[in-house]
Amino acid sequence: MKKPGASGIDFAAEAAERIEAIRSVLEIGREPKITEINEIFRAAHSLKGLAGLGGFDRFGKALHEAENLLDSIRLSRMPWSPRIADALARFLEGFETSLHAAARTGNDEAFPLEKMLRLLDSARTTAVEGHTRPLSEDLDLPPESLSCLSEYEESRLRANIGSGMAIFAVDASFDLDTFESALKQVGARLNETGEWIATLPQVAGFTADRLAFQLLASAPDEPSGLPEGISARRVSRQRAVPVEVMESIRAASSKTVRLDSERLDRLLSEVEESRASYQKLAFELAHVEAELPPLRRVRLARLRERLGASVVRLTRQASAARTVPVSNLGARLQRAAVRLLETSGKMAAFTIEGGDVEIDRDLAEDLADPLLHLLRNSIDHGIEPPAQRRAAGKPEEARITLAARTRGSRLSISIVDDGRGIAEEQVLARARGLGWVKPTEIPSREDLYDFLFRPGFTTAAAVSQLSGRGVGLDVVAQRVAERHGEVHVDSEPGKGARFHLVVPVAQAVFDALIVEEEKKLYAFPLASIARVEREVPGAPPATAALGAAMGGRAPSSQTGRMRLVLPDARTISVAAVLRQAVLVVRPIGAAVSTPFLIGASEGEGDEAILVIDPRPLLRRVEPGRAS
Amino acid sequence: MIKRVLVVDDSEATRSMIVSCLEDPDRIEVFEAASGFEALRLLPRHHFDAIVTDINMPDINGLELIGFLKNHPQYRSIPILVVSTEVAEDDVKRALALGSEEYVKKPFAPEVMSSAVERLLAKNSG
Repeated sequence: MKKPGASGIDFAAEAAERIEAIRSVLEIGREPKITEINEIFRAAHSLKGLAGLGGFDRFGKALHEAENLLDSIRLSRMPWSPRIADALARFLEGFETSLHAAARTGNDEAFPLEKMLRLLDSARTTAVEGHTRPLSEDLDLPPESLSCLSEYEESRLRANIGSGMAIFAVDASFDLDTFESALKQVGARLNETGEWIATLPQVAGFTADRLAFQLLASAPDEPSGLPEGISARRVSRQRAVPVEVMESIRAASSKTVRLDSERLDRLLSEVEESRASYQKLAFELAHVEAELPPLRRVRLARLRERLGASVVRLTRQASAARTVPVSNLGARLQRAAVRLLETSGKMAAFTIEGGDVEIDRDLAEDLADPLLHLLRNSIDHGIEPPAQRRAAGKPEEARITLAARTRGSRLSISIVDDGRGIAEEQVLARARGLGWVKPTEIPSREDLYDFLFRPGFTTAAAVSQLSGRGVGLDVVAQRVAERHGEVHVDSEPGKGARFHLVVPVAQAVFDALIVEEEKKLYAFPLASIARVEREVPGAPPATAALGAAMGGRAPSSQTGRMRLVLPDARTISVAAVLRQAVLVVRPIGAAVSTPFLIGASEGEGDEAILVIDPRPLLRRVEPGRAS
Repeated sequence: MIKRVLVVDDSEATRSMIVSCLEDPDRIEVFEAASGFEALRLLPRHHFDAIVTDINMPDINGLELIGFLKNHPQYRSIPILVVSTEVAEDDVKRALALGSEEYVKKPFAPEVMSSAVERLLAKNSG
């Protein structure tokens, strides 16, 4: 083992610089860009080189694994994940600790190599399927150019082609003395709309005072704004995805920030804990405030208000951090739609309504597959080929809409198309074939549609290549049920179909009105109540008394009671209206079994407050009335 | 006659290590380039008898440099030694396919580096 410095290099100081470089990327709190992955890959690579030069074998072996891990990511063999960031951060910590020891002792024997190797290994995830098609099939470039590309550059070209970007070759010649800055200027321009991938020095055009390069870059469209005399030529053969689609994808992805979800959850539960403690504190303070001297009472009240406002803001913001806009989900579906339409020969415009509706990130993940399936289903079975549509007097281009909205703490997402609708006769025939319907029986349309979601309905024969993999709507229903939701379908033959998912959102923060009834606390979303009135003896009774509607007894007298007036003038009578509050509401049970119950929120005491949606509650007490 | 060797590597540590392996002022003059760009700038100004290059570098990488050299009528005959890690195995294969003469894996022992460069120099004069 050599002493540090034997090679004339201060290993510890050189290493510290690179460790910092890696750490700064790991701590950006989102998925690193490819340029950042490259940076840390290169840093790990030179750390390993340094370890080798210093004779630190154990460091070298571990750094080799770290480098391998990062290499797999930059070559798109493996996706980035928060787990990788975490493992690398922990690895750096261990490495840094041993580094200081090594600087003193001149050896790295204290470095826990096996532990570190296990740590890095645990971060590895499933490999991304490799590509085998030679690049020459996709790119119109001479073999001598293609053969100069590194594996990394090839993988970037493939990744860009795969995501629908076009590849351009940009030929540029520069003065030998100033080419670096001129070239980087062109590169920066290319990076604005796409990715500058490779720089190939050109034999022709290389003179004593000039250098020529061919730059390869991805772009949605021909790069503009290049310096005079520099032109871009499209070299990718595949048809690119339309620009507007790319833009919407980019817009959506640029808004996404990836955080370690466990870390975020810990943060959120901490915020939630402070909010609950604050409310209890405020409740206790209210009891003692009156006994305090006036000046102290005013100060205390002011502090309490400030803290309260801050806790409310914190709660709202923290809750927002847990969510993503539906447009994120929409962009994924849009990409899939473009691909599916391309192979099906059908034409459809995909639009998103309610793209700004915020939903829980995990919920978005869980809904992506079911929605993708419904989209496939729609393109495969719903949308007619252009000729058929024309014959039916419809525009050749079909419309598919992803529509999202929230009500209280329920999210509704639909996939609507203007295709041929559900083929009811085929569904009936299949249901008869399965023995679900007797030969003479004619089921209602609703029952008929329910068959679609039953396990066993989908047959291999009924599944086209597009819908693929034989996953039936029953799986969609099951996945949605796992989130305590339901899926329905409406259809009008010839006009189209609407698949509709309703799921409780994971948690919602809203302004609520807290009321009391039969010594229990309940809350109503403030937005659902138009105003509050005092019960007047002799006046017509309220549409419902809360206690009775919840299954309790009707109040013996109206004296002293309050009534909540809904925007449609219906009323709910309650024992007392206590105050307004910001509540964090979590769903309880299934969304559909108790449609009036939005969820529960923690109250000031230890008792949970049930949060009620007044309209379904009234539907419950007056079943004859249409909502 | 003094032989000129160009060492291209963005890591100063590696570069200095390589240079220290080649130190023989009576026989070898070493030029250093910290990037492929710097190498390109030096090429028209000096005649080199051998080039030692890393693969994974910013700006233009070693493969692009090698591809350029091996396609250029004037530089084609300069023997090239590739220095890289086994991580970049695939890229090393590409470098050899492009016509590089030798490959030394990092980390390397000084005598491995110096004898590889000696072989290059012998090739060029032969």
